[in-house]
Amino acid sequence: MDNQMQMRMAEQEFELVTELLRKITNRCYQKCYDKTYESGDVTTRESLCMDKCVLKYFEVNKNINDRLQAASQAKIEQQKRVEEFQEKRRRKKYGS
Amino acid sequence: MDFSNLNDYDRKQMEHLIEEKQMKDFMRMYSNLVDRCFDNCVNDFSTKTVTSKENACVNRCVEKFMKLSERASARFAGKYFQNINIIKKYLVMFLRRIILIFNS
Repeated sequence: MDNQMQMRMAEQEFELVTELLRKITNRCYQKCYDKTYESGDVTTRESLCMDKCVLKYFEVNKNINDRLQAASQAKIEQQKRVEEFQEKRRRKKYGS
Repeated sequence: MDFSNLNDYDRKQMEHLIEEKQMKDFMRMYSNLVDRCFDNCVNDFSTKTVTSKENACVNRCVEKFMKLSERASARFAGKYFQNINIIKKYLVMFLRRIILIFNS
């Protein structure tokens, strides 16, 4: 079980990583390449642009992840409070 | 993704699987590159063969994409994996891919 599960997880992880790399490469290339196609060599500007683009992508990814987590956490808390309130009211009305 | 505790058979299976996926990924990138360079470079349809100007443009397109793509891979590997051993493993993977491209 362990081996099979491990292999499947590794396979999943590989897929995710490859997909992420592919997305980042394409998007950052689109944003950074010199449209005039003056030469095949890459300029310093393009290289630095790629560097910054990759890092920023990760940052944006993390920010959105954090925001979504915070939002879902807030929702869970709110739901809990509503349920507690309803439980209190029920107890008051009918006794425990 | 540490394969050191798998037995030989499983490890071979895993390596074979990864090779397959890399090949698929490479084919995808290749197709994408053709489309990209064709869109950007080939716009003169008064001739039925590719002009030398278009050819040169395509060469530059390919070279530029490969180089910038390699750069993104290196940055990605550094950022995604903090652990140096994992970085080594993945750099080898990416380098193999690049070598595969330039040998074909």
